[in-house]
Parts: sequence; C-alpha cells; structure tokens
Amino acid sequence: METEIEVKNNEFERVLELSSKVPVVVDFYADWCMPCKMLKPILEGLAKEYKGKFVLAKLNVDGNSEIASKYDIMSVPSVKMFKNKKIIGEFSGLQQESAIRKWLDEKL
Amino acid sequence: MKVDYDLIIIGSGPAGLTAGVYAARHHLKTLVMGKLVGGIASEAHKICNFPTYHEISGKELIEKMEEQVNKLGIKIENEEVIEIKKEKQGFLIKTDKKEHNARKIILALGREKRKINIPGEKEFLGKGVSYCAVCDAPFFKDKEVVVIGGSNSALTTSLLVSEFAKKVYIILRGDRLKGVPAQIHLVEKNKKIQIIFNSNIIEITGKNKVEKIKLDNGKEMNINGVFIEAGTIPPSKLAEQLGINLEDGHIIVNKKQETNIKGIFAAGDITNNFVKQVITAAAEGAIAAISAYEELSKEK
Repeated sequence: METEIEVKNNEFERVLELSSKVPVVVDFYADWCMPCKMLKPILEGLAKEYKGKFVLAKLNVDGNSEIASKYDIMSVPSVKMFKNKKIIGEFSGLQQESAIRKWLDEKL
Repeated sequence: MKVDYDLIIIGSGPAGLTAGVYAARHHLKTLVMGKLVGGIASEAHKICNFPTYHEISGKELIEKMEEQVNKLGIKIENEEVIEIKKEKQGFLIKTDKKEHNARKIILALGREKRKINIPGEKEFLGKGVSYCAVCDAPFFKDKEVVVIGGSNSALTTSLLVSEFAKKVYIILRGDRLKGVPAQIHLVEKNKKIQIIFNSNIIEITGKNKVEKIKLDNGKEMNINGVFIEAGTIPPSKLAEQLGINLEDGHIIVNKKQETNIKGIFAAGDITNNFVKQVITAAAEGAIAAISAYEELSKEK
C-alpha cells in the first residue's frame, strides 16, 4: 500500500473511504508558505518510517479551495488525521519532528 | 552517532545561511541546523531593501540563499538543539536526533514572534489566529480581521491582508504608528484599513473559530481573523545555559562577533547590535564565519 498520496478536490471522497481502512493524515499546504515546505519532508519521513500505520495525503489548498473551505482551513500548514471519515486529531503550524511523532503515537 | 565538524551554525536564517556560504568558501567542515529555514525573514511578504532586488518575497530570497548553501556542499539539517556542552577540543551538541562535535559554534538563533498571552490566543491558533500573514492571508477573502501591533511588521501585515480582506483594523497600544515612513503612508491611504489607537485586545472568543474580540475599553467587535504582530523576542535559553553574556536577552558580541566564551560566535537578530535587518544579519554571519576560520587557523 502507498504511504503517501497527493489529492485534489474531486478525489477527497477517496481519502475518506481510505480512512475506514487506515488512518489518513492530511497535510493542507500551499506553495507560498515556507513552514509548509519545512513540514513536508518531516511528514514524508514519518510516513515511510511508520510503514503503513497511516497514509499521508497531501492537499494543495491553492486550487483545491472547496475541500479547504469545507474543513475550515484558515492557516497553512494544517494537518488533520481522519479515521472512519472523521477527524480524530489536528494541529497547525510547523512542529518539530519529536512533537509530531508524539502526536502520531497518541492518535494511532 | 557522533560527527565531527569544524563549525556548527545553529540557526538557518539570513545570518546562519550567509555564515554557511563563507564557511564553505573557507573550506570549513560545516553543518547548519535550524527549525525554519530563513526564520522570520522567510515569512516576510516583501523585502524591498536587499541590494540586487527591488522587491522580493522573503520566501524567494531565502530559497536563493538556501540554494547557494546547498550548492557549496553544506547540509542544512532540521534538528532541535537540546544542550551544548563545553569539551576539551570544542563543544558537544546534543539535538533531538543526534550528537555532534564542533570545534567552533555560531549562534544565529534569530528572533521569535511574541505571544500576547490572552484568552483565546492559543485555542484559536489556526482557527482564525495567525502569526504568519504570508501563509494565511488568502484564507480571509472578504472577511473582517484585526492586526495587533503598531510596528513595521504590523503595517506590512495589514497591507498584505487588505489585498484579501474587506476590512482590516489595526489595534495598537500607543497613539502613533512606528513603522518606516513609506509603510505608514501606504497604510494611511489604504481605505480598507482603519487604525484603533490606545487600545488593547483582551480576549478572543468564538465557537469553533474566531468570531469576536474584546478590547480593554469594553468594546466588542465581530471579527473573523486575528493577526498577531506584537514584536519579537530573542530565544536566549541556549545562550543562558552556556553562560553567555546577554543584554536584554540579546547576545553581547564584539566587532568579530565573538561572545564572552571562546569558540562561540553569534550573528544576526540574536546579537545586541542595533539594526535588525536581513542585510545586517547576513553581514554579521559573514564576519562570524571569517572570525571562526581565523581562530581555527591559529589553533592548527
């Protein structure tokens, strides 16, 4: 199974379906945002390390505003964990890898 | 795992990155460590006073600096320094991931944005409260927002947010704006921006996101977003641990960017130098790297 995917507006239903099988961590990002650029490799590294315990889905809010708006995204980066189509955890802003690891371990 | 370096630069803003460029050109085995490449400069909307660029976004300028460092073969690692210990031949640096040995250190720790510590600030972070207008301004299209602060960064934020929001209120404690005249002029002629002087925000409220703010004069305002630009503070914890002399939290340096501890240099916004600009931070980074090189040369 893939550990990370890039998603668009019309594919978000796929993310929700997938979250019934495995938790999906959605990274709402934008290309104009430096903290997003820093967070990306941290999440990608953790997705590989956790070997399928969760799937990382990356959603560029620029061009996918429908989903961003649906989930009330008012800041990037925003990260939300979906399980059984529901949000079970979230954080916003750049965090240290150790803090994200702790967050993942609590939620997974 | 231990790795040995001639020089470790802690901080990856303009000072740290420029120090990296100079260290590489002096053939020092160097590592740059930082949480956010570019620091607060990477979140600047427009930089209009860096020679060679009439106008450039903070992110773009920083990416150019980062590219230069990378091309010179210097790695920039996202590591958080937990502790620095003085050893016989230099320093042991413990991070959240590894341990490193360095003969010399440059502290280019930059500045952190100041929190205002009011109810709702933490709870609504990412839900209407923002410290990064460049990141979040586009989410406030046709909304009403407040910008807290009266400094240049507050003015820049107001101008950027006004490109999206329908109304921007600047709320400041004092009775006058403190930015550079060019920015003040732009703010004053912007019809979307209204300035509320002599006021403090005391609470941010809402259900799931920001809906209202309260001011200390008893007034309440219906608001969708709160951009906090209440100044910056120097992150001085590491310097304090090392026993480095400070002045109002800033590291005291001499003309060579040396601190009171041999082998430790400091550069950029963390120092007690007067001007805090990208260009001066870069210059201090260059001086610090050359000074570190000279000190190493004498010891060889």
